[in-house]
Amino acid sequence: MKLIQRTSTILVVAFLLCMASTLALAQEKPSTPNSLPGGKAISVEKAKQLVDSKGAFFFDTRSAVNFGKGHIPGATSVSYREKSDYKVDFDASQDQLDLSKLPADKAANLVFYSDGPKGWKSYKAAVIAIKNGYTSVMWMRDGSAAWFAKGYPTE
Amino acid sequence: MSFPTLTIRGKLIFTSVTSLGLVAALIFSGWVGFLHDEDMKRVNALLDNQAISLQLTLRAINELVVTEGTSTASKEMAQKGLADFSQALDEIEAMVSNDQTRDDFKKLHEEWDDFSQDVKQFAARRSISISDDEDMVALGRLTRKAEAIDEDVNTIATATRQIVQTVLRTTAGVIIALMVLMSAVLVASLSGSTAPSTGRSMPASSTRPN
Repeated sequence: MKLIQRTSTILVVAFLLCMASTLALAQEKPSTPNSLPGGKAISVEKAKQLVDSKGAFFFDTRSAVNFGKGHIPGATSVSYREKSDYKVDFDASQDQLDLSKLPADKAANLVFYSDGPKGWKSYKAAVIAIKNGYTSVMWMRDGSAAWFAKGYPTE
Repeated sequence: MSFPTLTIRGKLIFTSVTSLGLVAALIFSGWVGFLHDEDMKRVNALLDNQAISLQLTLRAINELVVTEGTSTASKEMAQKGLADFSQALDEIEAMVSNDQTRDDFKKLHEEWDDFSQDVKQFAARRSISISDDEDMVALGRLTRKAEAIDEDVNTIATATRQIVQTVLRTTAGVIIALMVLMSAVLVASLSGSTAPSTGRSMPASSTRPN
């Protein structure tokens, strides 16, 4: 009887430990904020309208391999090399973004996107673009995952 | 079924010829079924080979990336993967292409030609680097195309297996129908050979011992 009790206790403790570690892992990468200071977070539907009307420049901040696998039509790859923490006040100096790929016109409509709501690369790229004087910066928070899920065109 | 106008000899000849014909048809149906079964095994093997060739090509591409485009062995492996896949594709198409799968094969051929061209161009790069965005975009495109091809191969594989299964089911149905027909002919000829040939039937009471 004691053996059964001891085994049960061990199993319960092991289960709780597993749950705790799973939760810890899940919390490892936090979601991005819902808004973009100085810019605008837009929905996938709004982004689709902009693609259709050619009303904005789209920038894909995912890795170049993922860009090659499929991206929003007309988007430009600006791979964001990310080393900074996943937080709003990230240290941009730790990261790399090729700003030369952005248009010279600082008033141009720019849309940044990455994988999805946990894709900090697009958020950070948008923040850097704003800091560099771009006045109409948009951020498609739901990212390419939502775009693909909607069945919108890719290239 | 009965044979009222034939003599016993005539009935026997008719039954024998009919049975012989049905047996021949039965053997033929069995042979056709066997050939289709063999075809299915062959097609399955070719489809497996195709999947392996595609994986081999992708592995070679990844090795080229890791070795920065310097591995001759990887380039040869990619070439082999491409050649093997093309050969398997042609063989499968020759064996199973019909109205149902023709469009699928046409699409797969186009995708494959495009992919092969891209792989050759990628392998021909003087140097490949993971820090070069252009190389990585090309790698991503190859991966996407390979995934699309893999999906289409699976679609064709499913369609092909369904076609062969249908043929096998039809053959089995024909064999069963022929066996039923043979049995009916034999039963009819046996029952017909007693009554009309004697001209009269014995009363049931006459069989009883006195």
